[in-house]
This record gives sequence, C-alpha cells and structure tokens, in this order.
Amino acid sequence: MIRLNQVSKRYTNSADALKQINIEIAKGEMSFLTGHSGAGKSTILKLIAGIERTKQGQVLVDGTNVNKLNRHKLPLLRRNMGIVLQNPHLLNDRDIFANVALPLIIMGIKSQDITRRVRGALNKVGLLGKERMSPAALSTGEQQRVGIARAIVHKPTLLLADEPTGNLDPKLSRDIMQLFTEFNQVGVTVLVATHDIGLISKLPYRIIALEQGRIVADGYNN
Amino acid sequence: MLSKQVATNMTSTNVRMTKKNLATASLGAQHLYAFKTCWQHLRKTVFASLLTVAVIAIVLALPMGIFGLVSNLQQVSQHWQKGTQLSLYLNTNVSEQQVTELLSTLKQNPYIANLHYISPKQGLQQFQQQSKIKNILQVLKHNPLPGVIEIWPNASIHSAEKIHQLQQNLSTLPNVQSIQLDMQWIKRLYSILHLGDSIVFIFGILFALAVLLIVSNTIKLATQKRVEEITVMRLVGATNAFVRRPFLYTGITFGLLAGFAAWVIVNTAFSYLQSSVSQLADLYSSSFTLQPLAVSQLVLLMLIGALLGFIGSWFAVNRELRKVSFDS
Repeated sequence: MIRLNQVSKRYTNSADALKQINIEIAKGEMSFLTGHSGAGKSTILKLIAGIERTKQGQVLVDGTNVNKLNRHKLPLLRRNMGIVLQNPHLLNDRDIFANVALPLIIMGIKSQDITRRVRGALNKVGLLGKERMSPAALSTGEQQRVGIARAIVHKPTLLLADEPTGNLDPKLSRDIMQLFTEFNQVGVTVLVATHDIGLISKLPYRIIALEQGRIVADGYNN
Repeated sequence: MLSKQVATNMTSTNVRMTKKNLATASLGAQHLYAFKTCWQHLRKTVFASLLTVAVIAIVLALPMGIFGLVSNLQQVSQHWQKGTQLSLYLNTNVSEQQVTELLSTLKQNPYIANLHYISPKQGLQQFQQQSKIKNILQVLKHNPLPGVIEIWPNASIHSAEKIHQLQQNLSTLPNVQSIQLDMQWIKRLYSILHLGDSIVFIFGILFALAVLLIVSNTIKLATQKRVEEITVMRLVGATNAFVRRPFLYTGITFGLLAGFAAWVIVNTAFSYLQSSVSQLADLYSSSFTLQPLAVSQLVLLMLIGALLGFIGSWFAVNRELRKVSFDS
C-alpha cells in the first residue's frame, strides 16, 4: 500500500527532516509512527498525502509515485485518503453536517446519498443527532471526532492521522484510537503519527519509531 | 459502512478512472455548492459587495456614456448626410441630346440616389423669380446660365472620402465643367466623430483594466478571508476548479450587476440631459432627441461586465491558490 524508498527530505534553511527512510506498509495494516516532535513523523505523512514533496527517494502509494504525481491529479489521490490532523480544521461558518459532507460534495455525490453517508459517518463517531450544531458548540474531543467523520465519510482506503489525540485527555484519546482500530478491522490501512507512547504501547500494532529523521525501531508490541 | 469491496486498491489506473468518473459525476451538486457558497458570501458582505458593484458600474458607465453620445452624434450626422448635395455645372454649349445621355449615365450610377436637371431656361426663370428683375434677357441678349444637374448621393456613402471619390468620378464625365460641393464641414464632422470613436476605444481599454483590478482586488480579499475553507477543501481532495468556482461566480455576479447598473446610470444621465438637448435642437429647428442605450447594449454591457468579473477573479484566485499551504 505504502512504500518509501530511500526517502530524504530537507526543508529550506534547516537540517534534514528525513534521512534515507525505508518503510513498507501492507494493505490493511495498522501502524504507528512515533518519536519526539521534529523526529519526522509529520513529514512522512505529508509526503504520503502529497502535501510535501521531495526530490530524494520514492514515495509510492499503491504504485503511484506521489513525488512525481501531476499536481492536478493530486486531488484524485486524496479522495482515496482520509486525513486527520491535530487541529481538525472545521469550518465554523456551517453546521456539522455540512462540514462532514464536504468531501462528498467535492466528489460530486448525489445529495440523497450524501445525507445517508454523512449520517452513517456521524453515527460511527457517535455524534448522530448533532448534525445541525455549529462545530464551535462542541467540545474538543467532539470536534476531533467530526474531523474523523469527515476523513472517513468518503470511504477512503488509507487513513492518515497526524497527532489526532494531541489535544485530548487520555480517556478521549483511547476512544479515538479505538475508532481507528475499528476502521482498520474493515480493511482500511491506517497510519497514525503520535508522540504518546503510553497510549499505543499496549496496542498490538506495528510501531515505527523515529529519531532525528531516522528509523530507530520498527516492530510489534509483545 | 466501510466494506472491503469499497476499500479496494488505489492504483494509478484507479486514479485515472476516478478522473473519468469525475466528468460524469453529479456536476449539478458541485455547481449548486458553488452557487450556495457564492450566495452566502454575497449575503454576508452585502454592503461591501454593493460598494464594489457601484464602483465597477461607474467605471463601466463612463466609456459607455461617451459611446452613447458619439453614436447619437453619428445619428445626427447621418441625418445631415441626406442634405449633402453635389451640383454638376455643364458646359454652356451642350446639346439637349448630350444632356439626355449624361442623365441616363448618371441614373445608372449606383452611388446616386436621386438627381434633378435644371435646364438653362429653368435656371433663368428661377433667377428672375428670386431676384425680381424682369426681362433680364433684354439686358443680356442671351441666357448666360449653364445647365445644372443636382445630385443626392446614396445613403451607403457615409464618409467624406467616398463623397470626394464620387466627386472625382463625376468630374471626368464629358460636358461637365465643374462640380460644387462644400466638403470642409463634412470632413471636420467626420474627424470629430472619428476622434470620438478613438476616445471611446482608449477609455474602454483603460476602464476595462480598472474593472479587472477592482474585481481581482475584491476577490483577493475574499479568498484571504476564506483561507481556512480553501485549505480544508484541498485537504479533502478538491480540485483547483472546485475551489475556484464560488469565487468565479462571485466575480461574474459583480460584473453582471455592475453592467446593469452602468446601463441605468447612462440612461438616467441621458434623460437628465434630454431637456437641454431638446432646447439646443430647437435652436437649429431640429426635432432631434437623445437616444438612450438600447436593451441590446444592456446585454452587451452585462456580458462585458461578466467577462471582466470572470477574468479578474480568475487571476485573483489563482494567485491565492498558489500561496495556500497546509499546517497541522
């Protein structure tokens, strides 16, 4: 599903963010990227999502080299992905329903299907019944769940999450992680970047640990 | 539900297929979204939007007003054009048969609308009537007046050059001694009208540029206010076209409304000028009235406005699209 071959990335005027990274993630796999801030977790996710590009190395997402992908094809690649960020970036000028519906509208889905699928996604994150509320009226944890609903409403094959629990307390964080494992159980490839080792150390999933742009550990919890 | 079937692979061919599906996908829903977004934006910024429309309308009204005045003047000049007349003075020794031949030649000339022959005898009679000198022949012994053919050119001859050309052609005919035509004032009038056309053209270009700048600046501010929305839309896979669309609709709406307002402004100004123009026309014993801009010109103005709005917002959005990036 995802393969990084000898990937290096350097932001202008700063040290290398990534140094010759090799990662292979199978279809349907769930894995975590960990490390301190600045270790390169976000950079890897951004490269996979085509938010950043690098000239060194290959970033293959199901055979497509994202680095070389024509910019006008990038939106089509993103429609197969769900992206969850620490800040859910909800739009406060519209209600929750409209926020979650956005990916479907962009894809040109018919409106009756949109209603059905948005309700399905909100049900999944436990927010059914709050469709007409403004995002600003929700708690931080609920806002993050709206962000997740928006990321999975179009049924992506790949779910990328960058510090999705960064603003949440341990209980809410566990709930969010539980959601991700549920998506994984129905076949979605999930890649989560988090610095919260305590949260994931007990989960039976692959953990890729980064330090200063290099992979220092890659394996499963026992 | 997330079924395994939906969660199939995402190959590059799949990306391409999705693109194909994109064309057949419900474009209606996408455009509806763009319309809604545009409408919401306009509703939230009613005052600022009206201000923009007003500025564009005034800028469009100026060249359009000059255009209206110039085309009115052209109407007047065509009216006067009908009075343009050439007088062919014939040699005194021509026979009646030669005159008949000349008249039939002239009648075949497509540029001549009408002609009238005044024989020396008729000329003398007219002269006697006008001057009230009786028995003039007793003094002069023989009639000194030449035959005259009065010619009214065809309406298809608009310009001074063409009339001049006709004059040249006629002067080569046999038995024509001279041709009289007061060309000077026609030439002057046409130069002024030509100048008017050029002024409309230059003003049109300059003011069109001004409209582009106004629209693109307004849309630029709109995009800056909605950076968050643009960021999210791109994150969830919106094409640039999708992001652009609401802004383009806003720009086009500005242009359409401003085109309409400009038409109203010009016609209001014209109706205000009407009484002064009528007074002036009365002095020249003319029944001339200032013609307002036609409905076809309203359509034209709105189309021009929409086009300028489209181009202006296109540039503004594209410039902003290049800047927007993601932060987590």
